[in-house]
Amino acid sequence: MVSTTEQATYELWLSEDGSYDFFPSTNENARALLDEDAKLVKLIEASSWEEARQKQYELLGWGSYQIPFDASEAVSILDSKGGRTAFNVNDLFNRNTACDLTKISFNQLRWLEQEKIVVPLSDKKRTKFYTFSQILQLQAYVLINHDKSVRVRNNVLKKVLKFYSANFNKIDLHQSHPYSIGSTIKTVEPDLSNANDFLDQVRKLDFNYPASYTVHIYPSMMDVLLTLHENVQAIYDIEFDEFRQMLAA
Amino acid sequence: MKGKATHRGRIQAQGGEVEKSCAWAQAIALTRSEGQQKVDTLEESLTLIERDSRKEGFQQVRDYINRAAKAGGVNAPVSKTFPNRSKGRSDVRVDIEVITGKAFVPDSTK
Repeated sequence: MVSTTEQATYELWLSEDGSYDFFPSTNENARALLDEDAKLVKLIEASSWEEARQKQYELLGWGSYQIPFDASEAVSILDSKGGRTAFNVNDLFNRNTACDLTKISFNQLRWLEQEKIVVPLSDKKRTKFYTFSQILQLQAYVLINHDKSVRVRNNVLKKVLKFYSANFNKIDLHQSHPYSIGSTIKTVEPDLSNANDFLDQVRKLDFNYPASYTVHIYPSMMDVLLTLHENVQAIYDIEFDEFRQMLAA
Repeated sequence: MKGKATHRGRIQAQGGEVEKSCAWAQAIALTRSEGQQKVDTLEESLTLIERDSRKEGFQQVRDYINRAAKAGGVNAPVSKTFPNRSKGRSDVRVDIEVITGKAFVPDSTK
């Protein structure tokens, strides 16, 4: 990785097939992979790879560069009793584990899949696997579904659950609650410091359609992570007790 | 996999309101076949329409990975982006980004 304090020069190359190569001038290995017809488009000065990529994105009109989440770091929860739960965000979970961790029933899981609200990965043997972000979706669904009086349309539920899969690495959103008005999904801060945004949404409602009056506020990311943590700790306690009994025997 | 994840990167499908990626973070450099699997996984996670508009891009990504493997792998940091020109939208693209370490080493070297 290039130093984050010193400026370095990055090269942007364009090949005739329209593809771009981008690397620091010092990366001879990447240069060796350039197409023969590639032409140097731009030299960019930046103090880090992330900054250089952002400049490349701006130059090419691609919007904002999303800094990669360090996937090597686990999502870790430490509670006041010292209980700790850690997940590697690259882990895949089979169906049984997904159900054990989130306490979702097989029927609920099947329904989410049938409705394509959560679509698991599958291997050549058609064994289904769930990513960590999908585990969060399942856990959020269990919490939302806990209140039987809440009925959310499938398309809205899909959008709401996407909040959890897309934002688990954004700490500033962990306390926010996603909410829906009609099919619009936004977030509201627990202290209502962004209440004006919320009120703006209400003002936009079309009162000719009573269904759009319904405002649902869903669990925050923190609620979901804590529930998952409690479930994992409960599983650990049972295993530890069983282990202790085995020792006693 | 245990050990410090010194080899990190991702393959992304971007543009046209799509932002999906398949990342890696591991102690050993990603091999050619592991890289191809990442491409497969990412492609399968897209809808048919999203996939169709990046069909050529995915093939170019696979070719790049094979080419990199023949050269012994590629060192970070580097990105290779394949925009879809045929659809007239240059922001619809598939992108390889090797962020740290090395990737697409030949299978036999692992």
